[in-house]
Amino acid sequence: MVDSPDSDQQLVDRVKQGDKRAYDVLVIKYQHRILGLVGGYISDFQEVQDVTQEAFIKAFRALDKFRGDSSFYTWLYRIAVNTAKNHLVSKGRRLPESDIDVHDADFLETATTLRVVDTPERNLYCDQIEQVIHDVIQRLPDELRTAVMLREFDGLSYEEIADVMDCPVGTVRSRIFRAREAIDREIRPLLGRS
Amino acid sequence: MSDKSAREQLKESLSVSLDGQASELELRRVLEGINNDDSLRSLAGRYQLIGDAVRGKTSKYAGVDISRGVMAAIEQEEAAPVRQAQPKDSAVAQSGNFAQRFWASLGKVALAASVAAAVIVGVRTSNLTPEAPLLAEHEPAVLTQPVQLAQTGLRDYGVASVRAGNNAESRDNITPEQLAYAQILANQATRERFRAYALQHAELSAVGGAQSILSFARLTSFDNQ
Repeated sequence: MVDSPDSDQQLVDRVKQGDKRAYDVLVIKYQHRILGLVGGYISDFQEVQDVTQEAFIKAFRALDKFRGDSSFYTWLYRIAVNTAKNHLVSKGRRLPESDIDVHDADFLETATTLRVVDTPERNLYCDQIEQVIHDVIQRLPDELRTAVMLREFDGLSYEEIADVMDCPVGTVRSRIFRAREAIDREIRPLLGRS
Repeated sequence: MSDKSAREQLKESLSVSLDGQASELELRRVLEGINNDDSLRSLAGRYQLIGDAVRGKTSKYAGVDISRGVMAAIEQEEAAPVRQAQPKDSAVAQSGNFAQRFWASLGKVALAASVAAAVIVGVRTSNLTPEAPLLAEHEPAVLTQPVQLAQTGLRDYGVASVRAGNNAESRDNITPEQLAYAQILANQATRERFRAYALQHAELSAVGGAQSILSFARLTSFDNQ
């Protein structure tokens, strides 16, 4: 799921209306990216989890102030960076010389080895998952592959994909779902072994 | 509709909801499903993982799930608002008391700066203010008095402003050296005022984001008063 403003606004609006379950979905969507971002500032695995949790809680408390000028992820990212930096300051540790850019955060290679996460086995595991997903996508029927790639890689809305593929929006949503289901069938056993 | 079909429908609704394209009814059903069904919750995580992998952003933390901990902490906070509010309130109350003491001191500094500025303006113009006849009744005073009176109350400033030379007689008696000294006082008061603004902002930023923003607004509104 791309972090386009539209894809999260529905959930954000729902949270603002008082439905915390929508925030649960936002956490599920972005927890791994924020963990990776915080992991760029903090080396201890437990602390990374704690600080990430704290960042999400702070974001929840401040959600009324989120006006949608940026994407939800960008706003969340800034909160996570500040939370990580405040954590370092509170522990008397030195701050990094420059902040991690929001666009680079997902590609960050931490300088410090994370004993639990950054192991050769874990790296191989992540590579394997990615490879399986790409292999399955290549084997998908053309219409399913095109729909899911336009959505996940290019970030097009369902309406835009319907225009590109010259089909109804309902067909787009069905194709994207079927593509995801096909991929999920292959990766579920892998994740079960992790 | 068979169970399998209903399940498939819910999964498709989940897929659509994660893309922000669901209807209100669909989203409600999905949220209820995720709340009650661990397998649907796990599926949401896997759909997200698929998207991350397509974009080449598979996280090393794939498989780590802190979402339950986050929601439990939020529930806990909301379930005990009084207990949770107290630490925040204490911090806010402390900052509020600090703010009150601070504003009182700042007011004195600001008034001293105004007094010094008034002295400068007063000696540089030859026009009497409407208050001048009244002020003329008071004796002129040494310009060091505003500095001394900075450590006393606001009321004394009022008297000091009169004594410091806002009347025709004392204006005529003020020397260039006294004028320069008044200028120094005004500049010093202004510098201290800005330092105090920065300190206040930093202090309240440590307490909480929303509070600090509000207090910063108060700072600027105070400036405009």
